Amino acid sequence: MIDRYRLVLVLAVFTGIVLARAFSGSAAPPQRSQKRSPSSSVHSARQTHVPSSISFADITRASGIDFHLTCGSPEKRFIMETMCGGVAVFDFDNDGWMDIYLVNGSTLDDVAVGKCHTGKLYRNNHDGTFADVTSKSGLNHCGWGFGVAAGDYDNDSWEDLYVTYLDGGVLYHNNHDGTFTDVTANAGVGNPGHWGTSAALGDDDNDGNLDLYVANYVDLDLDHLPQFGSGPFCQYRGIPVSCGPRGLKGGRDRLYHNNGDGTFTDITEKLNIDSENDYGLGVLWLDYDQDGCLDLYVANDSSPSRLYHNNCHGVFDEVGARAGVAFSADGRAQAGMGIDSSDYDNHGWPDIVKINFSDDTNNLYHNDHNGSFTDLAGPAGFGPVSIPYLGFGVRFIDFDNDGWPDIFVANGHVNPQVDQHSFGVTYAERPFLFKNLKNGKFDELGLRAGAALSRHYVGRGLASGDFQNRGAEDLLMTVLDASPVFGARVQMKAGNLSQTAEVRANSSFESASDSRLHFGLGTATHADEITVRWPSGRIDKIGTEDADQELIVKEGAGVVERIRRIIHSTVSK
Amino acid sequence: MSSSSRAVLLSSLLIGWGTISAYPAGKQYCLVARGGQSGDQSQHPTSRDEHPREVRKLLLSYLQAGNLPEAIDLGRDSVRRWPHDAELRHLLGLAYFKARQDSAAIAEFQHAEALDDLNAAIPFDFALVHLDQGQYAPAAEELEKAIKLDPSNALAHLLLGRAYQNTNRTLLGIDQFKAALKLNPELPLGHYHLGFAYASLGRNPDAIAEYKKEIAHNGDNPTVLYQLGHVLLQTGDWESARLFLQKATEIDPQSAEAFYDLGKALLLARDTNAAIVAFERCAQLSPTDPSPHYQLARTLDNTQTGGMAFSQSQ
Repeated sequence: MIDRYRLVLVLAVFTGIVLARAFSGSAAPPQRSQKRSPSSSVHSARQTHVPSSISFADITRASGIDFHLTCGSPEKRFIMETMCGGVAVFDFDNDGWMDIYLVNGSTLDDVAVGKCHTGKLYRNNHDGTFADVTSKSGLNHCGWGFGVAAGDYDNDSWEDLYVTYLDGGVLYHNNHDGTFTDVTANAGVGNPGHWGTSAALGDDDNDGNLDLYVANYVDLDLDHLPQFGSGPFCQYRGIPVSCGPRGLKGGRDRLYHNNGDGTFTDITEKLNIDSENDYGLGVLWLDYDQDGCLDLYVANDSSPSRLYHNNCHGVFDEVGARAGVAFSADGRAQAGMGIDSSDYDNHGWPDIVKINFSDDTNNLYHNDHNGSFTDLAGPAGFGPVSIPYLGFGVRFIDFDNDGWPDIFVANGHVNPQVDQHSFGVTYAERPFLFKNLKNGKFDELGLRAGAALSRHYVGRGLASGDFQNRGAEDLLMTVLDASPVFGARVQMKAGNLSQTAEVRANSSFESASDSRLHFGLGTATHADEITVRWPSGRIDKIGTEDADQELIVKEGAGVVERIRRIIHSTVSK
Repeated sequence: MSSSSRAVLLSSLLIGWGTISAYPAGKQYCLVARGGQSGDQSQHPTSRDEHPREVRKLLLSYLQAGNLPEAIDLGRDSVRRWPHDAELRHLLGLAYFKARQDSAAIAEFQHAEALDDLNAAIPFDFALVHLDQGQYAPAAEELEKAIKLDPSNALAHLLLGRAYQNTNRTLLGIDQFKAALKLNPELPLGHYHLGFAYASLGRNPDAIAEYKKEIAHNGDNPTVLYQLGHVLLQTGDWESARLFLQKATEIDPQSAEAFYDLGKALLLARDTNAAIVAFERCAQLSPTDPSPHYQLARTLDNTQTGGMAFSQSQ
């Protein structure tokens, strides 16, 4: 039984590794040594008005995180050198504060000589800083890492980690003492011989045990790598670049069923998952048709995306094309990267955002409430601006706590060679911040949201989390070639505002985010009603709850704990 | 509509370069569109013993009259007699080009350039040969030479912009379109090409502004109307998009692209029946394009057929 979901009813200042934090108006970012006085730390849980401006600050250095992501050579001559950067935001020590795990890559030379670049685990010090606790954590697999999923696969109430590598995956069991143990072999989730990218944990059969989906990209032979610029699939706009994925063999994704005893069974073939061996990059569990069973959406590179409908009886039907989420609005296969889901129009149904390669528009698939989606990226003001940009990570976040999900996109091209030409496409790119205008449209604020978002990065992984438990969602973005910068559905009503969200940690690109649900209340002082539909089908209704607090809800027991949060307003006064 | 279809459409538009009034009068022998070998066959030379200046005039008159066999005959004869006369070779190159003898034309232009590297008209006309062949990179090289020799040629800037854009140098292309429009704000298709470059970078508000400027003096061009409607549709302004797309289909009822986008605009306006008609028209005009079939299938799937349409479309 999964019984520990925490719902955050707060607001906040948005923060934004590049740990960046947002500040409203012209307020300067607080210095680490400064203590906030009560008068300066505005404590309204409500958003009194829409901030006239939001400014993001890069707080990576101040946070104490000193991580260098290794990912091949700067020239990116081979495809696996372009895709690193998974990040997990999770609470490994169960202290109620979000910690960070950063996956590391490698280089061909280092792989050849067995040199390791392990990932890093950072513990939250509760003061805006983090401590590197990797050395004694046991997270020490030596490989070329890509993505990570976080979740409590064995229901011991401690979050575990699954990390994807160029040659398989590793499941780390959380030992409850700050250490982890590699239990891959016993669990049977090694994904042997496959290059895993994103992974996601979700309970597909409502048995209370998290199952595991691993998106596999390309089956590579490191001894026979396709040579840079050597063929038709090694060109971009006529210039030589790294080869693939077209022309390379796609890796078949894996779906592992959790047996509830610490082991998993590979049910990929049984359920006919990814029979086309697509180039998997993004994966997301969601219940798009609200039948109480988690469905699966997979973003594939250079091939149609797939939507597997779970019929609640152990069968997954691929319905992507019929549902309108396999192709672009014009019926073309796209190069999908990161994906996320949220109810951006507060209609009560999960919508989907998918980020694509450059020279294409990103998708905003609106849930039409009938099993089908319509790509409204253009009308929403979300699509065309993305044409010269190549996005990877994407997250719905309510950065201004107005109760309407906004969208953040981590951009960065895969071919550094583009900088030698005047394509209008660059290798490093600025990220996007789309503000939800509450009318189905978004306003891209990136260039108006401070220097941190105006800078260009080669963005990859992206995760969000409330690192300071102040009711504000912060963002963590991994970048290349530089120092870094689960099934319950909850409906919350506050005044005229109704929001719906699903508990999910794994989305975006190769990343895992804070699994607590975050509801901004806009101008409301309290939530009028909260309804939780658990994976078991049980529905718990929770009455009025004040804003500015974190609720821990247990199935059948309702709210079991309330944690007051001191909130910093988005509004400078 | 697929980008490839759009590229084809644009390319056909670009072929119109030959019909655009070209080089400033008196500086070179601006081409008109290539065509058949017509002209007044009675205008044969009476003498070929004149000064090369007179022969050039005669050769030019043949070209202007479309009398290509005579022009080529006279040109060949004269370059044998005056092999170092760049202008004669230039004119012979034009004659070959108009007669669709591109290899011979290219050879003569190369000779002409080697003999006279200060005449902007030679690389300009040479570039037209490359453009006609879809060879944008060498066209750009020739146009760069022409502009270096004569920066005041607005059309050269425009064509160079197109050559840059077709060789994925969009930013440089934008600079050239701006330069062309600075020299001649009413240069035909100048705002259109600048708008298209902006649209290719996702700068839709800028693209819309430029398309509207083009329409202000070129309002019956269905391609411009289509592109404006296309971008308006992308930005979600389907009501405005529908007006321009409707007009585009009225002017050019063979435009599959316009019917396709019109269908999308109508769909967004919840005029499903009209949308289906538009998609069906697009499918008739472009039967191998999967996009209208995809839209039809999804539209029908969401309306009356209960899911059968999509299965059939696959």
